[in-house]
Amino acid sequence: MAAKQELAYIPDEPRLFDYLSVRQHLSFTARLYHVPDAAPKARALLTEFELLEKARQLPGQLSRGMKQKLAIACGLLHQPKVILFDEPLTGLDPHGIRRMKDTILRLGREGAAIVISSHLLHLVEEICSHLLILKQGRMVIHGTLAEVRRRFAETSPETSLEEVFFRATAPDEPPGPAPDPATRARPD
Amino acid sequence: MVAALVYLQFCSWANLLLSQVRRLRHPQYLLGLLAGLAYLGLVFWRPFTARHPEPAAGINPANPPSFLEGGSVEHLAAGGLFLLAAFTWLLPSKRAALDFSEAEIAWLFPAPLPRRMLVHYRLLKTQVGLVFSALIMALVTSAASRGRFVWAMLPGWWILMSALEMHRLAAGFTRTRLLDRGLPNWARRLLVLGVLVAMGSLIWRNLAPHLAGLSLTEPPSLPPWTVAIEDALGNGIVGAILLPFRTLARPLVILASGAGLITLLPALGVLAFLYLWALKSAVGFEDESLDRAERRTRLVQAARTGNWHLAAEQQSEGHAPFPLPPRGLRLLALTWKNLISAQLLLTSPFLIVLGISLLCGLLAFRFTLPEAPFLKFLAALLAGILPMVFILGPELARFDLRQDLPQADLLKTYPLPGWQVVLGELLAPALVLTFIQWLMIGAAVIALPAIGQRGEWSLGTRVSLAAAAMILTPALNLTLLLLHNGTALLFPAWVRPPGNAGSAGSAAAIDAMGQRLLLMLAHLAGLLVALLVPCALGGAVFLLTRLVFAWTIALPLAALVAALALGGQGALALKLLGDRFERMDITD
Repeated sequence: MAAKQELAYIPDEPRLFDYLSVRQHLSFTARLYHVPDAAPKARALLTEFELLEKARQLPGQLSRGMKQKLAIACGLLHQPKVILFDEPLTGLDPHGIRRMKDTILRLGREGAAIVISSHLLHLVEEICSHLLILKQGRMVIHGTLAEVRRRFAETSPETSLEEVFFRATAPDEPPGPAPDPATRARPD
Repeated sequence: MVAALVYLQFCSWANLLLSQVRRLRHPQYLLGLLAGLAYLGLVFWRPFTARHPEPAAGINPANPPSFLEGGSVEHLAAGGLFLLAAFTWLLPSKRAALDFSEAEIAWLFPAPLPRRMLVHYRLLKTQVGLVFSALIMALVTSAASRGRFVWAMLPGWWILMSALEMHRLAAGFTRTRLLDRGLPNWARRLLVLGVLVAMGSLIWRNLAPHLAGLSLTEPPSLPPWTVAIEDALGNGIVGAILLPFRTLARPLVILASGAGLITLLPALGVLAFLYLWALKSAVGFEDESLDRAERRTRLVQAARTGNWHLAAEQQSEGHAPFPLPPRGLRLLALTWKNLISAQLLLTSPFLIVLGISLLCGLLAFRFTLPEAPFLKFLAALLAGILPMVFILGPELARFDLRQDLPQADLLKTYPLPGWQVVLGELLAPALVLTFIQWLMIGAAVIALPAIGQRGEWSLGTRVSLAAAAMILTPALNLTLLLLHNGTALLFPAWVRPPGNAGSAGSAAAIDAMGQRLLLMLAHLAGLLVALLVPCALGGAVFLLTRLVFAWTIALPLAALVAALALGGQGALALKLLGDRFERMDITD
């Protein structure tokens, strides 16, 4: 229970209770996690995620992005030390994507351990420090971005993460030097 | 293009059938289907095998026909059909829409298909449901002839149901046309009401002379009644207006007595007229159909996940049952949440106040008019309903773990041990059901003196009965809720929300019904087992205390011991279910 108290899980599809309003979701979360000073914290989160005016609305009246923001606000209310994000950018508009990245980076700077599960490799490349690649449920590699690049792109440290990913998950292909993109793109 | 639509519909039916056959490999569907078929067999087969006297041929002067035989049935059915048709014109306010799925809209609307073809496709699609409903109605209505004319009645019912569907379609198109031509909904409704009032006065004018000569105290089995009905509904303008409806109803009446299928021809004529009307009046229905499809998808998804509030299209924030400060028992957060979920149905403060006020009103009535026959009726009614509320209440009050299981991954992240999650979820329906049952027990006990055979029941007796019942109520509710939620947790594939028969289709509806029957039997068996020890303990306490105290004291004491025993068993079950919840693999 102590571990769960410090944990937040934010699924890719916002899991909200259709009969609870925005503010009732936060009250519910505050009680579950015994959040001290819950009211000002909830208000700050609602302001940050631009949900203040929608505090009395039900999830059915919110857009996909708004629902995602509400799920994240609930996840952050108890100031968790570990946050699991599953595809955090799904359904967000460009403004939402920018704000979400900023929030994740801020939480990381504030000391939270953030685990992101994503297929958006540019997001991973942009905000993650460590990488774990799974293939059919098994770990292929785990390390810092630099370490992973070193392993799969020995001849070209600038190889994109996308290329690294394809090499790492290629069927029965031992890791080796990445092909020269210029050579590969050149027609025979 | 026609071939493509036929192919689509044929493949849909075939694949639906195939998928339903394939899923019979899973025992829950196979057993469900067998139980459902056995139930339907019992319901529909028994009348055919029961010994009835042979139906009399012709009219026996010694046994005059009931007013529900012969022509009067035809006229009454025509009147009923007319009313149904009138409501199609009176109630709806939206523009015409056809029921298409979202996939059909996405594929068919942008395709180069004329609107008429879409209407035909829609009509073709309704056929499975219509034929199935017609078959059920033919089985039911041919029971009197021991099923001899079931196949003869099938086309009669099919024509009637198709005609109603066709009329609904044509009326929708025509309403939209009228709206586009400047006739607002209120004016149309006024017009329809005017027709209804005029029809009512004409019927009354025809009926009034007959009523003077009829005895209202005699059973309505006299020929004059038949004459009166035929005169009121079969003559003059009323008869002319009801003629098409009578044409549709007549085959059902005469086919039931073995008439030839030739009698269907006039009804087929009416159906053909309605078909042409629907085609000729077709207007743009695409936008409204899209809205309807989206709404239906949303409601079905909501209902399948148990979100009845979304299904009921809740538009405003629900009233919190009590303030929820951040400190205190964590599990109460789940109870609080579920009470908000239930409030549209059951826990509205208005309903609570209304219930208590009614109880107080009943008490005042009891003291003012203790011999009123109403009290006797009420006590008998409550005595009949209460067991049903105890048994069916936990099945219907699903604002608990059953509603939240689709979100189990989220629930498992909450910092609560499994047993607290289960308890927090159960408390809301337990509280609501207990409140309702206490009100009913209170009302029954207040009304009880009126049915006492040996004079009025004493105050002590009534208090003792009420106390015993009220002590047992929460423990019984928790036990039943544990059984229902335990089933959902241990055998999730067996538990489907009401109204969800899985994928559409009659076979799916039958296996869903069978599954519910089996589950109900299993829950009843579980309840009986759970009651064994508490009943034994309660009985022993009653016998022992009876040696010292009057039974009015012994009964609540025995109930208390039984409730505690039930509670002890419940705590054990709660712990086991909590452990199961913690171990549950949400990826399954």
